[in-house]
Amino acid sequence: MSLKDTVCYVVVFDTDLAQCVDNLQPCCFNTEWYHLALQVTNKGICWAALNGFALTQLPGLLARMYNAVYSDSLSDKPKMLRWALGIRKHVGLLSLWFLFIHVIMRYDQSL
Amino acid sequence: MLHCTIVGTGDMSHGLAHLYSNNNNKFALNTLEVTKPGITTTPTGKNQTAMFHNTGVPLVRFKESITRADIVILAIPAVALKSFVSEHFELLRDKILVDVTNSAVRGEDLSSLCRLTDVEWVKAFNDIGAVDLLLHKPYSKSRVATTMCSPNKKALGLVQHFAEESFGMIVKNVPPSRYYDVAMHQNSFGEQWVHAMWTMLVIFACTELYAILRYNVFKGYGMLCCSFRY
Repeated sequence: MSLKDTVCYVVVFDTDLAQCVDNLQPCCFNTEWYHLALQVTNKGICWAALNGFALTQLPGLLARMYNAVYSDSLSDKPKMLRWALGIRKHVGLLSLWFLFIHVIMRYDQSL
Repeated sequence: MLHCTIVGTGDMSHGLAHLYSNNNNKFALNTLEVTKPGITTTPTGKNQTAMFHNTGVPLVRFKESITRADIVILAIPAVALKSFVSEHFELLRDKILVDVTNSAVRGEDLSSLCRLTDVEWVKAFNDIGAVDLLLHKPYSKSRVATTMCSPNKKALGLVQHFAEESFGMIVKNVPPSRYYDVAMHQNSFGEQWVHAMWTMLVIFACTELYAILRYNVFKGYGMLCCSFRY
């Protein structure tokens, strides 16, 4: 493995959950446009699920930090934060749906 | 003591008749009939009337039933509501009309049709499905929960009384200012789901764009390490 491949492998390992779990080699470096529908979109779906789960956690954390500084009351919090707290469950469930699609597509690729 | 008539013989009508047969409090002396225009009852014998789907609710001729009714539940398709009400307006004008339809089309509800008249109307039973009603067991401990909305307090009270005493429902009154939310109850996912869907769609669009740039354009090296390209 060359230095270039090693560096790229580390980048891929850090960022792409699907690839680091399923096959520990940088196999997608020669991705062609006909891979877009399944392989590349599957990565987008995977990252969307991860970012969605992160967004599910974030408003609660910000609310706790806000409570530590200001009052422990929902009505005092900024409107944006209240909105984000209100849709946490829905974003989490939609992220779970994205994750389910990712698993199905990943299984389809491995056949 | 209230006389109620359901216009229509579809699933919603069947579901309400099923609830009535299971939950009617006989001491309240309420009665329920099912009818629709053009119906001709077929007596099965002397002094017997036809029953609606073995629910014990009689199937009665349209004019007879409407004439003696206090409450008329219009369990007909929303598209037929306008023509039905205008055609039988003289019969219906002194009754309490109940709108059970769920139409997203503006003007296809009793609120729009009766706006310029003195007809009393109530929006009710539109947030419950016929399947839920038909599957409700007579020995079930739970009650069917529903919301009602009307600008007329007296009409709302009477329909609520009938629903609680004869259908065994739990009724929550919604103020007329929130009529749109009640009418669109089954036509919208709800504000939070819509916002969550847009949020996830934006996230997916960003990640998909990044994946395309990374794998198809920069051939797998990513935006940050594109300097390693050959």
